[in-house]
Amino acid sequence: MKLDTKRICVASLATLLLLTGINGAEGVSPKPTPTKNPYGASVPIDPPGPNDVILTVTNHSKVVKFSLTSLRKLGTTQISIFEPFVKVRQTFTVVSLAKIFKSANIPSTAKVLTDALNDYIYTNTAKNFTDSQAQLAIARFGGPIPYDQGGPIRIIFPDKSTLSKNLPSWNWSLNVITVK
Amino acid sequence: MERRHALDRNVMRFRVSGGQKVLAFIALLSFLALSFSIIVTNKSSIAESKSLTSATAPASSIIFTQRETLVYTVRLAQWLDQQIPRREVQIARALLAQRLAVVNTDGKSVGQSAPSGYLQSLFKTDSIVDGSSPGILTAKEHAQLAQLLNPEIEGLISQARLLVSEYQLAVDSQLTLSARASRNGDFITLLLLIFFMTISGGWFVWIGRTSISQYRLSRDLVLAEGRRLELLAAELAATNAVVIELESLNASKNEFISNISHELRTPLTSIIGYVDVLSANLQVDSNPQLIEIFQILDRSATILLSLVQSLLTLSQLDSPNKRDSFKPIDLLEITEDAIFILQTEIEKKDISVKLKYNPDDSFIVAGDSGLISQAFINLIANAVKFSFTAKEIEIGLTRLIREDARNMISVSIRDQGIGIPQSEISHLSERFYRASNAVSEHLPGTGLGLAIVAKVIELHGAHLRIESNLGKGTIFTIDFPEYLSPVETLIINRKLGLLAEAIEAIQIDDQSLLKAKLHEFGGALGFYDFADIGGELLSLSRSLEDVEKVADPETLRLRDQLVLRMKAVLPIKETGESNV
Repeated sequence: MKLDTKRICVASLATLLLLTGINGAEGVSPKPTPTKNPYGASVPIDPPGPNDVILTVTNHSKVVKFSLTSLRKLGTTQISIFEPFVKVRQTFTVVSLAKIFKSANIPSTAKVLTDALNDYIYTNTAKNFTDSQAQLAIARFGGPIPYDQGGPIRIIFPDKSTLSKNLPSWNWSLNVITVK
Repeated sequence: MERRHALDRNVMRFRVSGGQKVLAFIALLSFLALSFSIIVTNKSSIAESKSLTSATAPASSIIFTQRETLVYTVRLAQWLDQQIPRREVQIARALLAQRLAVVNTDGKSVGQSAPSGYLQSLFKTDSIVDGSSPGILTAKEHAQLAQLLNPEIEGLISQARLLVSEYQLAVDSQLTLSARASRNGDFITLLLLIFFMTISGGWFVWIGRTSISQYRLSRDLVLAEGRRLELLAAELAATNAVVIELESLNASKNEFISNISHELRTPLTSIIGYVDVLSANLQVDSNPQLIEIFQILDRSATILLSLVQSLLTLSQLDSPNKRDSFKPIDLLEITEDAIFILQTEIEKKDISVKLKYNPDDSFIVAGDSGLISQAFINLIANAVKFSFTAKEIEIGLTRLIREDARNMISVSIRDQGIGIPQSEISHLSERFYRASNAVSEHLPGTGLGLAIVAKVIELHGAHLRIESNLGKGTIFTIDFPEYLSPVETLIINRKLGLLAEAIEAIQIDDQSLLKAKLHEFGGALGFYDFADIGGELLSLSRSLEDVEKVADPETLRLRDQLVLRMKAVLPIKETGESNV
């Protein structure tokens, strides 16, 4: 079989351009969307850039920092849940909290503190989070989650899971996860 | 009978009346209303508890909102002190906005319930923050904004405190409304409970009183019935003593007659014998007057002997326990024997005797063969005696099949003699009574023959019928019950006893009682082979409603028709009448 050098070069170039384009697209900060929250400020807040650190996971000496891009690399899924605070069904793009714990070698017995941007802290064991299939939502209806709607990342739970009825565990605007 | 019906009626009235049913229905309705009221009240309480225990209940939202407000004010202060960039203030503000947008269990967001002053303070801080430059404040901006922002921060903190007090007022108001609604619900429930208890209590008291009065009435009736039975028993005992005394006297009389008859018969037989000897030794023409005297002596002695014999027979018939010696006997044989015994008299009057019967039938009855023979001889001898010369006597034996299985053997003796006046037929069974035309014709007799016949027939449970045409002849008919084995007798007696009881029981006019009795006896009679009658009793019972009232005329007419049919089935003993 004779290799077609020209075709190989074209295909390689196209692949390179495509990857560059994707990367470039990820590197461009998304534009802020005007708030739909009636109690929000009139000036919108710029969402974090795709490579900005938005989550820091600390397991004693081990510290792992995540941006939206790195979180996506852990693998995302779509789930539809009943959002208990605004009481409507919403579809989120999520990363399993279990994967995040795994990335920082957090054992199931560890006591985990979830800390929000407004310093709200909720504590539970890693096992209870994973047993309830806790998810880290990174997008809603395919778009970024505004700050005044619990964004940019927040912990959610599937319907009928144990912690789904425990609203204090739904930590909004998550910032830090720390093993106690 | 009437007393028993009164008892039956009393027992059947022992049930819930119409008024008691209505009261029970009202009690049931009030119970349902009470249950409904309790359910509604509890449902409200459960909903209230659920709301209070929910994490998104207004109380928890208010506390979180107050917290977010304080965080925001802290961020504002830090920003004003040039410690943090504007973005962090904006983020804290955004998270506060998120908290204000949370929808509580009452369907409202915290922002909707927040005091207007709070929101105004919040939006004023927005205008100050949004108008500043991004990042850390410069020293110049700090000086400008401090004067503007500090009063707003203080205002916002004090308004945040109001969030709680406003919420508390709202909760108080809600609790007051809820308590009022709950109080109203509880009051209605209490009223319903009192109503239900009163109605149901009244119902139970009413039922209890009715039951007690019915019980007392029944008890009084039973006691009265007991006293009546005691009186009857006493009367019966007294009567029984009299009967025993009379029986004793009668036995003494019979013994006396029997003894006298025996004593008289022996010399009379001797007299007749010697008169016959003397008559035979006299020459025909020796002394006509003496011959006549001997003839008179012979005839008188013979009559006297017959009279003594009859008295002896009657005294034997009066003795008790004659039925114990009854055996199956063939009436055809007895009839033929009687004809044979009377053959001489029959031939003397040139009378022809015809005996008619179906040779396929048997004519067996239970009885004393000697007594029945005596009765038949008396009847046939009378027929011969009162018949004109060269006439005919017809004797017939017939087996009659009856619906109640009590078959009869009928024996009839028809002569062509002088007959009996109608007015005297009923006296023929009296002792020493003789028909007037027999006396006037100088026909010999003691007046005891038919008395013996009547007594024998009565003893055998048979019935005698006499039909006569003066100057043309007389028919004597005796209906004997056919012989039955003891088992057959027992079964038939039970069947007929039940039938007689049913006839008595259904002759009541109260529809409810009649229905019950028709049902009771219909089933029982159907079991005892009276299938048709039983079926009709049941049919009539089913057509009636169980109502305490006098049955309608059509029902009573149908009942009377059934009674007639049932009576027709009963044996002659119950319904037939002897002509004697």
